[in-house]
Amino acid sequence: MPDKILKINNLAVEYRNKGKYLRVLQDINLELDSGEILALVGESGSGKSTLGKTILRLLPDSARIAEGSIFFKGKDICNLSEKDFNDQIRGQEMAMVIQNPQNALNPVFKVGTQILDVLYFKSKKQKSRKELKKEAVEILKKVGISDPEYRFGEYPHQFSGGMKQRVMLAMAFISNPSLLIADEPTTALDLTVEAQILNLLSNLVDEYKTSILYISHDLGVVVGLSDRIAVMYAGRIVEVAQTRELFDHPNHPYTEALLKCLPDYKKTEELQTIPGQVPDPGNYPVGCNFHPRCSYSFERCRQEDPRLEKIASEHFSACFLNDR
Amino acid sequence: MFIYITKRFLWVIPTILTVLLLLFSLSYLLPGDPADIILGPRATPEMAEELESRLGLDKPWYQSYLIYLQNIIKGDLGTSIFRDRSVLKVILDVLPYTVILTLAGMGLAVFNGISIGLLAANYNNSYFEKFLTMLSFITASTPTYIAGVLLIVVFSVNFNLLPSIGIGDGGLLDSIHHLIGPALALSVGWTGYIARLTRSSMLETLDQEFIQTEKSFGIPRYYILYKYALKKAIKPIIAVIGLGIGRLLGGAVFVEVIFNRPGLGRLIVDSVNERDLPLVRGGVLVAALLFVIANLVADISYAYFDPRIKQK
Repeated sequence: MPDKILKINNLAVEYRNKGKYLRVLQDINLELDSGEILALVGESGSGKSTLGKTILRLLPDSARIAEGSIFFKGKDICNLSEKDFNDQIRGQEMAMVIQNPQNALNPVFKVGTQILDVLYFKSKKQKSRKELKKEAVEILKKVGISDPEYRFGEYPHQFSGGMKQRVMLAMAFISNPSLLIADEPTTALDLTVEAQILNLLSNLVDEYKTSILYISHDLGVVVGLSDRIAVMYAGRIVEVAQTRELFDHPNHPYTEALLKCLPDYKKTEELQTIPGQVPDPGNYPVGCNFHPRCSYSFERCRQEDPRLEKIASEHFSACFLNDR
Repeated sequence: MFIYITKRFLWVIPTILTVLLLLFSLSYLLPGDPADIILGPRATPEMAEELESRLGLDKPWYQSYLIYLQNIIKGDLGTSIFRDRSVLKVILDVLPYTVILTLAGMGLAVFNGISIGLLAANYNNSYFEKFLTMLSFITASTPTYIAGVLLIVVFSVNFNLLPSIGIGDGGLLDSIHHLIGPALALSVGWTGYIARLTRSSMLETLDQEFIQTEKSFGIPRYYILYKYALKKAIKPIIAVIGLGIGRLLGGAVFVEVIFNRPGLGRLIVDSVNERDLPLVRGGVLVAALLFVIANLVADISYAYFDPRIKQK
């Protein structure tokens, strides 16, 4: 069994809202092998971005970890001081690519300046920016930016969305991280550009042997990319399985419903939807969070919280139907 | 960038022409006959006629407007009625004092305001931040004349640290010593305003996604705050500095009167009281020019801070 790069135990995250703490994440248990791509899938508001930001400590001050721990390469990173975390983890071991490339680069600085600064702090201020420029140009070439020397002196608004996302990937991989958190990196892009970026991402993963936590709402995107998929609903992980297994034998009713929502271009029948909406934190129902929208729900679903349990080899699901 | 600056320069022309038209119409808009008001009830008709022709009031208004424009292009602002000297000379004598006072006031306001605003943004949601916010509210709502009188009472009368009147003997140190009080009085209102603007602009910028990106790539907090966020957040502040120069020129009138300093503001007030029409026109024109130039500089520096403007 390969080493676990990331291990999350019983994590719960709360937000302070009008003096009260609201749980937005609950009972999160997740493991990531090194070199593995794990997709985190769910509707908007299911807490998948919050989980990504929790790992990198990017949540606002009003959020706190209420329970649980996060182990990175066997080390509890929740206990690191903010300074140590910044020096040792961010930009060294982990990096993050965010959803909207339009707003991911600072509009008033040259792209080159921003890349050089990342390299500069990665090198712990040991190398001068001049020395680093070569490295930076090299990585820009690698992510498919033509004429990188010239592009270096341009501003983000002179780049297209796809180009910006390439720059983001360059900045993320520049630090050769062990773990990349990709928060819907292709959602804001055209379909063709999306395919290019996904291609680039898998090439980079092969080259750098980086583990990825790929956050997406689109099962269709992650199917060709990920090794395993974790499905989130209303702040909980409801099902985890190998990608193929999840598509072939979805166990949780929510996963099943999500899969039915995937459009199939060969068929012309009407698209399926899941009735209702993801509840807001603070309005979570008693019992299984999904039961109000679940067509299989029964008495027990309205009273108890289901826990993630093993139902087959490397397949976990949180549903009482499995106990019947 | 060059095109942007050229365009911006060309816009100055219609602005100045409008100001000139307004200034010119002053002599028609003011109630009563200008010559009578200036000369008083005991003037002979000959004296009135002579003055009217000197002021160009005996010709139709469009003709005298053209003469007025011609003279201004030649650099001739007319002759002061009571000082018997060229208006331009009278103004140039006092202008440096006002310019230095305004720049010093603005410099203090910008430096103190941005410092307070940055501290407040950095320590957001703490008691220190609440104290700073209150401080900026108080300074923002203190009128210049109250600040001036307070400064004189505290620093000149009670502690005898600063001189209360005049501009000093001409030596550099003495001039600066005399400038501190007036410049502080002038800066107080804008310090609070700029502090509040800096704080909100910084908080807004820190909330943006690219700050999260920079953070996630391991760029330290101080670096994000003072390099990445500040350059983005400073834009609205640059914009108000242009406006602020105009407001400070207005405030300089009070400060010059309270601290008994020579200056453009006081000259305009005096000339209005004396009904010295050419001097009023000249003084207001120069003040308007200063205002326009300040805005021009602000706009151009704005382009420096936002590369997207350069292209438009």
